[in-house]
Amino acid sequence: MSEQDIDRQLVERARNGDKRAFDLLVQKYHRRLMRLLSRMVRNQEEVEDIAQETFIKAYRALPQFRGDAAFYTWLYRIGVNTARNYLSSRKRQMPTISDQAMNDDDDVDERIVAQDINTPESMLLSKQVAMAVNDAVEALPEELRTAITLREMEGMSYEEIAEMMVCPIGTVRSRIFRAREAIAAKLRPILGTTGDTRW
Amino acid sequence: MVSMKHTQTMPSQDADAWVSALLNGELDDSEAKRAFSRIPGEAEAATRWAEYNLVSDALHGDAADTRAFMARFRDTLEAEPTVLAPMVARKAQTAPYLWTAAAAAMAAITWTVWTAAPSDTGSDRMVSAQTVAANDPRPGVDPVANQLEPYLAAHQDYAYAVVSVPEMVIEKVSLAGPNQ
Repeated sequence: MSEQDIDRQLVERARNGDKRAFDLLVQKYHRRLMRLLSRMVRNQEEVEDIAQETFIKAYRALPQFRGDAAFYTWLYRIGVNTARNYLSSRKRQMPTISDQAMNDDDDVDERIVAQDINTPESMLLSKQVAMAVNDAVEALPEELRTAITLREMEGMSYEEIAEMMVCPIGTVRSRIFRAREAIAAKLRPILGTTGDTRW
Repeated sequence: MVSMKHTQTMPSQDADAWVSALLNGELDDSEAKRAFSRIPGEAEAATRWAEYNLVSDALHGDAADTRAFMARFRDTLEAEPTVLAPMVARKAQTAPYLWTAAAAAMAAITWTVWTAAPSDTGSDRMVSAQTVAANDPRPGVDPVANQLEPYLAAHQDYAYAVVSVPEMVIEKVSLAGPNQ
């Protein structure tokens, strides 16, 4: 099964009334979507608001999703349009904001960035997660590190990885699984997750 | 070493293995369906799905803690009317179209040949089984011309018709009347 097949199954389940299937799609794509939106909108709170709105719009529009394009491509278009609408409406509101801003400071962008409400705790946690992942990857045995890097960073297929690493495809799958589990194990103490903690 | 290919059962104590296999695309359609049925209801499997997607995102530089985002989204989704729009199988949607398109293509080909403009180069002889609708094997009878006569006469047109059945030879004929 390809990634598109996985998404297709989840979309079908969601269209059949299973909201939890859509939740799994959101878990899969929300960070990627927010990274995209961050290139258009600088305020992190607004990025999250737009991402929330994008996913709800996508859920409501599921009946119109024909499956011709990949789900993420479709989601991406909804996200971009939602962000554009947001920026257009904010532009119309800008005179009010800039009027206040201009009294004290000519740089409106700085004022907007200052509205970022990311807490120090969440920013610290994100940094810790990033460092833990990097450290975990560095600590992996070479064959596991190579397999997970080729898969996740280079987007290579199992067949391509098997050919490059000169090993059976089953070995590639096993290495990727072990690498993934080793990295996740390093994250659990940071995230405070246990087997029955939902997140 | 974990091998999940074509596994029939997915015990919960191996949730990390089969969730990883699911993300790797190792499970076939029916196994994946079973997996997706289980993940939302099994805490460990649900956690693995979230963790492994975080690992993948973090390797791409997205390590943000988004639990608050997901909690907020779940509340919003809960309040949404449930979408119920099952997808129609693509085969069922396209098959009738393909048959219709094929029939239309054959009709167009047949029509094009029968209404072809006459040539001035004397007796044009074409041998084409496809252009013949010769149901009447009687010698000397032009079965195709007979069938098309009313239309062609109305258009004062010439047509290519079968004049010799065994050889399936087609020649130019005038269809002003059945005996001309």
